Amino acid sequence: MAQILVKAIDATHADPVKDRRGCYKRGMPVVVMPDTHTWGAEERPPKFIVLKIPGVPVETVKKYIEPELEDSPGEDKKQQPKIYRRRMWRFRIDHLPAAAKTKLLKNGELTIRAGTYDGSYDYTWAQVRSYIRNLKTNTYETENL
Amino acid sequence: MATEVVKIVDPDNGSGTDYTSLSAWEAGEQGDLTGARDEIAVAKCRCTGGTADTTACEVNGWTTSSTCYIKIWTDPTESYRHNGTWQTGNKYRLYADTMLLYVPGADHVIIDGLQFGLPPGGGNVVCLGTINMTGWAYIRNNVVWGGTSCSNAGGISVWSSNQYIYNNIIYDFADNSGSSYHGIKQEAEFPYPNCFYNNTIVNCYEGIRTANAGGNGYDAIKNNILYNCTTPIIGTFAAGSGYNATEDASLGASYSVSGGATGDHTSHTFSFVGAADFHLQASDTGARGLGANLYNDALCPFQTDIDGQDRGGSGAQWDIGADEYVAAYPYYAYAQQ
Repeated sequence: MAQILVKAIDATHADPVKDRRGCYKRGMPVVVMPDTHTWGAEERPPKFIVLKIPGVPVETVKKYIEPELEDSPGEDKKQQPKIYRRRMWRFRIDHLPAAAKTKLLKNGELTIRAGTYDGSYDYTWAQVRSYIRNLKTNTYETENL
Repeated sequence: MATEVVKIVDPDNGSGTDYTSLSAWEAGEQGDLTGARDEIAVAKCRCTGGTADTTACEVNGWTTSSTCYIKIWTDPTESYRHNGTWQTGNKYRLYADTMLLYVPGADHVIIDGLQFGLPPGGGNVVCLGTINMTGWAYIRNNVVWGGTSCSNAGGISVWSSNQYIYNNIIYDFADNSGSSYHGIKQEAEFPYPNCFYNNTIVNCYEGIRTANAGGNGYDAIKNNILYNCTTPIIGTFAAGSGYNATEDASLGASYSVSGGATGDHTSHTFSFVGAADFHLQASDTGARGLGANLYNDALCPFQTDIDGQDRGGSGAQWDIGADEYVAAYPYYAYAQQ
């Protein structure tokens, strides 16, 4: 029962390393909430869009809000693996078909059918996942939910 | 002059809510606060329906200055701030088994009046951390709780200088031995001071530790209660430090102050209000009136306690710890007025 809040605009930092490590870019997932969650006034366009995936557990999609970690096994000073990029996954909003992109940016959300969900939806997970890019492997998502 | 831009963070999405988690606020407001924005970015945290904020917040990728900074707080004029104890209900709290608030990419931050808590069995984290800050952080009036059975966890860790950490209550980071079980820890050496003032630290394996031992010690430590801590204080601190109190016979074998500490107290008995309420009782003799007055402190002057109560002005004898005992105004005094 998940919704993914996705950043819809770039944040930038003048330092390229800080920009990569720290700044959310358009299409990066930020937080995951359950189906029942209602969003605040700023959690919509132009700053954000929401991917609604009814019936899919929050835990299943939490991997999309993981950062990309450094390849080296070293840890940073907070005893956590060192972050290379703010997020490992990115939803390629600008690569969507025109109709989907227009709908998303107008309504601020897409409802995606996955698992056993049989209610109304905009697209299936199989359609959407091919626009979700793993920035570490440079491959699109292929797994089912 | 920088403009305060206040956004409401409320996990329950009550009236006026801008963001439903602190992490979403961070993502939405992230950027360069200097220059064209000329802004103080304020996250005013609420909890209108009793729901905790369970998302980890990393403050990263910001550009700040001493006048264009970040402020994350609960407004004491509203009803969502704790009362100096860990509170659920309609009190804002960050509560999850993760590093709850981490500041690796902003240089000027105020964190004021929040609650940080780990669920049962949580650990392998510190609740609140800052790193590589070139400016300053004020971390004050917070309640930081390790939960009922945390492991390998710490309260506040800083890897920066100019960290002003005062009026915090930090407890229950003590289930095992090791330096990760601490109340406050300064992790790296910088030739600039940090201030650890008027904190109440209870049931932690290590109370306060500094690695900042260069020269004769850079960090200042004053007016802290260290109760039921295996080792209350570790490290070398700056001249003028002192007025810390513990029930132990010693504040720690490796604790030292350049030129010698002033006014420290050992083998003291504290009278707290409750088992998890570390306000001082009227009957307390271990901390009341035994602290240094920091009203005009050279590094970190302040006037109030964790409850926002006045500590009595520049001439008062302060209490040690986060709470200043203030007697209720007697009824007959009102009647006389």
